[in-house]
Amino acid sequence: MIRRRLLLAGLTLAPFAARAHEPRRGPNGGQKVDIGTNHAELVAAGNTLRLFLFDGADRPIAATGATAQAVILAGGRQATVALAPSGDNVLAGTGDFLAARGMRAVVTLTLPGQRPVQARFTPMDQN
Amino acid sequence: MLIRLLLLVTLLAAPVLRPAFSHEGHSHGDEPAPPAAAAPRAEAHSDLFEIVAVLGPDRRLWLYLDRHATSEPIDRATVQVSLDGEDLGTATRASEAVYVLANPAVERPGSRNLVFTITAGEDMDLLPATLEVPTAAGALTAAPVSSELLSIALREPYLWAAGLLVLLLGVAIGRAAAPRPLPPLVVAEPPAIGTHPHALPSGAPMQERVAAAPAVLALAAILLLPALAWAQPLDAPRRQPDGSIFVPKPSQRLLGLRTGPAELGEASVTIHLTGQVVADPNASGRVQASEAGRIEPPERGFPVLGQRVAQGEVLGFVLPIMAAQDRVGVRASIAELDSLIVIAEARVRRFTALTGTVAQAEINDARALLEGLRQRRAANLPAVTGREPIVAPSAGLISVVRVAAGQVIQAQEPLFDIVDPARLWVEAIAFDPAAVAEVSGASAVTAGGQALRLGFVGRGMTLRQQGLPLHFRIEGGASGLAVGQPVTVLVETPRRAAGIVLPAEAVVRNPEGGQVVYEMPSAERFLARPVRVQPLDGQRVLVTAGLERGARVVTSGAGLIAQVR
Repeated sequence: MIRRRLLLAGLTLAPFAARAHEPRRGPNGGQKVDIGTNHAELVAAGNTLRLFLFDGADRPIAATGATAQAVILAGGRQATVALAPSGDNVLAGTGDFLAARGMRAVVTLTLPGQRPVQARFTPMDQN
Repeated sequence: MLIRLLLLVTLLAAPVLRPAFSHEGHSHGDEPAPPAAAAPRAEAHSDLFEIVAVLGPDRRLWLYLDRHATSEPIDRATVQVSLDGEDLGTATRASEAVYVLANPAVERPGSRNLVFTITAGEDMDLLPATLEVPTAAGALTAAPVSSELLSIALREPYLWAAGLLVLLLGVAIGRAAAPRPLPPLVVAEPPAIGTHPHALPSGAPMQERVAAAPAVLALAAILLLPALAWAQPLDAPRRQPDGSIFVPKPSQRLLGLRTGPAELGEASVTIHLTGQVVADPNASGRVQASEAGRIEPPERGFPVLGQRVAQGEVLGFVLPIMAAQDRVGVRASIAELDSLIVIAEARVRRFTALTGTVAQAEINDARALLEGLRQRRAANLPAVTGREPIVAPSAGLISVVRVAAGQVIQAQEPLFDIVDPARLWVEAIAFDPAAVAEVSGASAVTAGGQALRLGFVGRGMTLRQQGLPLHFRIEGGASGLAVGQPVTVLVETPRRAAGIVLPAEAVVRNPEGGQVVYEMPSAERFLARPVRVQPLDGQRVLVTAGLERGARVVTSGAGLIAQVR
């Protein structure tokens, strides 16, 4: 009986929990996805990656103290790029890859004092 | 009272709780967890692949790789795993589309970030996933001791084998050192070989001991076999408290589960009619006797069921039977005709001898009279002695035999039915003649699920038992059909309806009797979606409500998911 009531309560809560956002275009022309409880936008150009950090309400987060590592699969080759803070809310890094259509990247972001979180990007495939 | 209070608190807390786990209209990390009893698992998918990683009781990482859209297993792919940025190497193929990775790094408790680099043919992809490894090593499985042994055995098979060998050796030494039975004091028969008097009594147990060794080995193998089979983590499929169904990947593989995307489409509206298989009137026949009589078989006997007969083939003979009075009348007229023929023959002979004297016209008249009498006799004769052949009116297979040799039959009694199995029709009854005013296509399904293609032949203009008969031709040939077999006829009309077209197999009944399809929101989770469906033809249905486009829907094996308790 208690279980049924709890289930009922859970159901009343359910409509508030909407679906997570799909990958979308960010303000800097990259792809923005959810990363942990925050949002991140990845911009790839040539052999450079830039990762813009936002909180859940899309307000920029300071990149100071944050580290990130990106695994990139482009042109049938895999590369690992370390990203370091290079601006207010930007982490950047260069690596042995060439941004092209079909490129996939998995970014592992570690914010100061937080557990590493991962997100998958397809920065060159949108629209 | 407590329950009410709890409910009230939960409801009141709802708006307060909301910002805690969601913001700006969406939420993070609200994916429902797998059952607590299941092995630690992580899943990830892209538009190409779907991968499920399970930390098995043997502390190895089992990977299940499928196509994301169809859930089709991908065999012989290369899966390279990295954990928290550390490369763990490539997983080895354990069985079809199952890969396994043994590395102590996967046992480290805590939240582990995994990245899979998958190469399957031309397709390459990167997939991230997070695996929560429980802190206590024993929490991995309900039976920690056996799992410990098992994992050691699996990781160090040589150690295990060596232990077994030592055990067997110990048993052998023990048996060898055991006190032997004393030799009998009285030897019944003096042995032929005097130098080895005790060779016989101790020789037999030795042979038994040697024979027992393979048996012990076989027993050990049997005991070890289930342990090896258990290596793959086997979590039971179960219904979750939130109503979703958890079906682990190994079970999905066993069920042969496949999925498909729910795409919006348009299909013509179909109407269900009940019908039955009938014979094409132009390719079938009914053999009836035209008069009463006794039936006789032809030289090769009566045709049997299923025998192919050609048009015009003699199937039997009818010997007419007559009442005694009729027979006497015919006999009398034959006798009378016989006497008249004798007279006419004598007259023709006389006239022929007097040719020249008698006018030629008179001779001709006499001849015509004789011929006429002979014909009358010939016509009367079969009534008492002749028999009528029964011929097949069309080619085909004998489908009904209603005769036995010597049987007396009435006129118009059906004797045989002939059906051409390649040319069968379906007769359907429509109780709403307006609904089938326009027929653009038709198909039929037998009770056994056999689908038949139909071509519209025509519709009647007279109601029969309040229904309008419609005739369809079965196209493309169908085996195993019988005349009179009931079928469900699906008549397509030119009207169109929009919805999601799915295979008929995707729609199953839930325990309440409603129609549901199973959506697959994540790799091992299934949700029953009550839907409104319209049948399109034998194989497809149109979902008009209850399903969103883009959802991944179970197209094969849905009935088995519905069985999960």
